[in-house]
Amino acid sequence: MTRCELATGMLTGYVAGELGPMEQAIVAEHLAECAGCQAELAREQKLRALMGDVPAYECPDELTAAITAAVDAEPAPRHHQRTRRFHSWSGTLAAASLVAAAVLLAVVLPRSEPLLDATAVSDPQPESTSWTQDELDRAREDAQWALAFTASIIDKAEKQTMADVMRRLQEETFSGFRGRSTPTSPGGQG
Amino acid sequence: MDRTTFNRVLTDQRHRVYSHAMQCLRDPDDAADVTQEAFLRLWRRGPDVDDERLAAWLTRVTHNLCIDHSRRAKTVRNRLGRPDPTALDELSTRPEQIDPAGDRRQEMLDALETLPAETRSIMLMHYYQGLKLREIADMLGKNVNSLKVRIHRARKALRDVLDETTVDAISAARRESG
Repeated sequence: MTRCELATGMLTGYVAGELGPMEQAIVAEHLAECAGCQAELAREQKLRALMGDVPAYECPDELTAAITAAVDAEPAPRHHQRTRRFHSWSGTLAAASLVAAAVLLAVVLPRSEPLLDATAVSDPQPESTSWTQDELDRAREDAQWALAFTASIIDKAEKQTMADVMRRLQEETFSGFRGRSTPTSPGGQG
Repeated sequence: MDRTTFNRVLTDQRHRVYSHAMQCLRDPDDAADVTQEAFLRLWRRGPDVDDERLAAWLTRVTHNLCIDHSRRAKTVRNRLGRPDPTALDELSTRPEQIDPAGDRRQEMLDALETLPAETRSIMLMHYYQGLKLREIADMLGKNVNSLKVRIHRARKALRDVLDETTVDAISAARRESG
């Protein structure tokens, strides 16, 4: 890249005063000795002045009235309905719980047998029914995501108390998860 | 966001949103649609943030809506031909905005219209609204350097449309009217 290309690439930022001190100095130094870039600078300044002169338009009063009427006709967004706090809260919780339960069931249920059957560990298990570390990690991530998602929904709904409960639940669930030994490891049940 | 906040933002930002839509789309009906949709989205799912960030949020929504409308309008134009340019005479402008340099300003808008909708909107944000490149990049989730390249190319394209004579004439008209 030539010095001219470098300088013209920075001209917009130079005129707008958005360059750092070093870049500003480099461009200024180059401009002082390059007629071509000085012309480019003049064009940039002209364009800036012209663009600033593009007509402005005033939002018509009828449009403002139409917007107000449209908003009046809208049902209030759920987080505006303070009087229905409990109902909206329980709805959110139910939906979030369903998501969490669905993820947990989808991941854990098909693999539940080796987890629950302690005697089965001593026998070699077919590959398809044993938990690998990757599967366990993935299940943990999925379930963690579901719970984090639940907490974030509740956060958004400004249900701070419930969000705290969910966070505690999340922490407790995964401290339990971490404490559980991996079923595929030979000494896993000890 | 409660209704009081919404009303305040509507009052503060409506001219800016409408003006940006008009400058981008040059059609009062499309600009009205964009403005109404932008504020409805603000009401439905506007974030609970301070006014400065709300303004940035609205700018981004308006920018995206303008691009969508522009694409749709382009499709219609391709089917039906270009609209009557005299429709611009019906634009609702402030009386004090109508001045001897008005035609020249329209030339500037004509030149801008040759740019792709997204670039046009970015040029207006930077050169007209005075937003910094970094602010625009953050707002639109774009890289500052790619934004610089885009603006650099747009400047070249505008120069081709607004040849030197026209640029000087517009500048002279500005000086006379100022």
